[in-house]
Amino acid sequence: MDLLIDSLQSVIEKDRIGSPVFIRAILNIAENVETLIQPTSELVAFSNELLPSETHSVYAQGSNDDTQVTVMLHFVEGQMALLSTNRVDTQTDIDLMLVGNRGVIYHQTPIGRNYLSGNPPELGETGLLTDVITQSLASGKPIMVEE
Amino acid sequence: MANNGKYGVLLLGGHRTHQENYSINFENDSRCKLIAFADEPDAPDERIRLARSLAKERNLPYIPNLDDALSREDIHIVSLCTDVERRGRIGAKCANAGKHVYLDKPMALNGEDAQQIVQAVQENSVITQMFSNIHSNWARSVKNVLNDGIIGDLRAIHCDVMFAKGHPGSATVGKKRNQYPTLNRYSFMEAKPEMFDVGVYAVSMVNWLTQRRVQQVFCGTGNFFFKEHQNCDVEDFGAMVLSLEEGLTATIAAGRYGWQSHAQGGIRKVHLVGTDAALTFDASANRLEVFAAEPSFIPPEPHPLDPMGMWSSTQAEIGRSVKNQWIDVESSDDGQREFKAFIDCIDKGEESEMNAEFAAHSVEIICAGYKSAATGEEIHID
Repeated sequence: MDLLIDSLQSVIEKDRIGSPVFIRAILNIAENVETLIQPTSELVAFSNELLPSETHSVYAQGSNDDTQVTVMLHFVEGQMALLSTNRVDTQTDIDLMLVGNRGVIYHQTPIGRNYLSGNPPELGETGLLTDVITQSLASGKPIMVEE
Repeated sequence: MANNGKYGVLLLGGHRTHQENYSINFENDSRCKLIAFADEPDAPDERIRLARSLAKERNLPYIPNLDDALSREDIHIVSLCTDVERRGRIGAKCANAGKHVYLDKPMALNGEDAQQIVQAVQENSVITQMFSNIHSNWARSVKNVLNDGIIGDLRAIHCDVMFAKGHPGSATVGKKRNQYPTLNRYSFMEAKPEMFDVGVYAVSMVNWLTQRRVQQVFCGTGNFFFKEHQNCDVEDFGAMVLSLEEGLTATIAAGRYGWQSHAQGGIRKVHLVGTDAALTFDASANRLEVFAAEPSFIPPEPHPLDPMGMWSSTQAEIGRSVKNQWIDVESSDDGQREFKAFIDCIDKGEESEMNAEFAAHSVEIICAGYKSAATGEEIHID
């Protein structure tokens, strides 16, 4: 994900899309991960890198069989993110829409017949707000993030 | 039936409403005949003026009293495009007069108004349909995949519908929007509450694809792009997480994000997540991409009466250029198919897939979304 973040930051830094206000990310995971919470927390970390504010609250929903986890982040300055992680048995890929107040970046990797032209996103191992995601999933309620 | 066997259509709403388009769609269906425009006698003066001007343009009479129009036996269908605030009352009145009702989206301002229509429709056994995207080739592709069972059991569905119109960058960002729990006013000349106005496409799509009721809503709204929305204190963007029956999760992102934010009219996408596969459907995916020695799309100068580019007439007046780098394949008749489906239902006496009762749930969900955005809490729907 670092290379993807670098590319996105290069566009943001040139002020082409204005100030980032919303991220939609759909991450399909083909790897054999124990739960989807860790890769979801990677998406949370990814969003925190790109949105210019601190996380205010986390709301998570998931399926009982751990097929998918979906998180909505609210940021202190009003920005939002919708992040979904899904188990698949084909290939790891990401569909991303980063919306700024004056433009948008769309990205899919890999894609369709050109899949060999793009590397699947490589996730880190640290993530962010794993405990909060877990807490929201268990309670079904939004959880405020303490400073 | 009068009108040489054709359905007589009464048109409510005039210029600067979707009646500009719907009246053409009805006229294009050989089973329909446009009869007249009308409105309530005490409708806002500007609405009456705009209805009269569109009636004149279509070479149709304007009936000043809606009750008189509804008493006519040569009128069988009402195309309802009045301001959203009056749709509940007027929709119910049309149904109570025994007329089939084509409902502009959203069908009503709130759940109570929507139920007014639903109750009248049930009591009078008329056919209704709310405008939506479900008859598009794109939507039908998603539905076919769901019906075929390719993805296994559905676990999540994510839908984005955004309008690439308006001149963004004028809103003050960096501040959380203070959302009101209920919407008291919808219609402004320069802006609309976009989570409602655009989000109704995404919400109704999710409802239709899943055929499951939403039980819980968590939502946020924002003023990210336009000073016009900020000045009217309505949102230009909204996002929702929906919990549906049988443990299904859905998310919605909807709003208006600026002329140059998409190569066509805006992103329209559905992601399906199932136990056996995850699939993405992009309404713009089946396209030609044209690169040529010709000028690129240039956003139009804002029309003083329509800065967000909502209406065909105002955009024609300023000579808005056409985005033509991406050309759709197989979806050129999506709009007409929507109206054909409604008339088919009337012909066969069948319920529409997006009838008033079904569409009312979308209104209920979005209104719950406003409550959630106002309180920061998840809102349960009975």
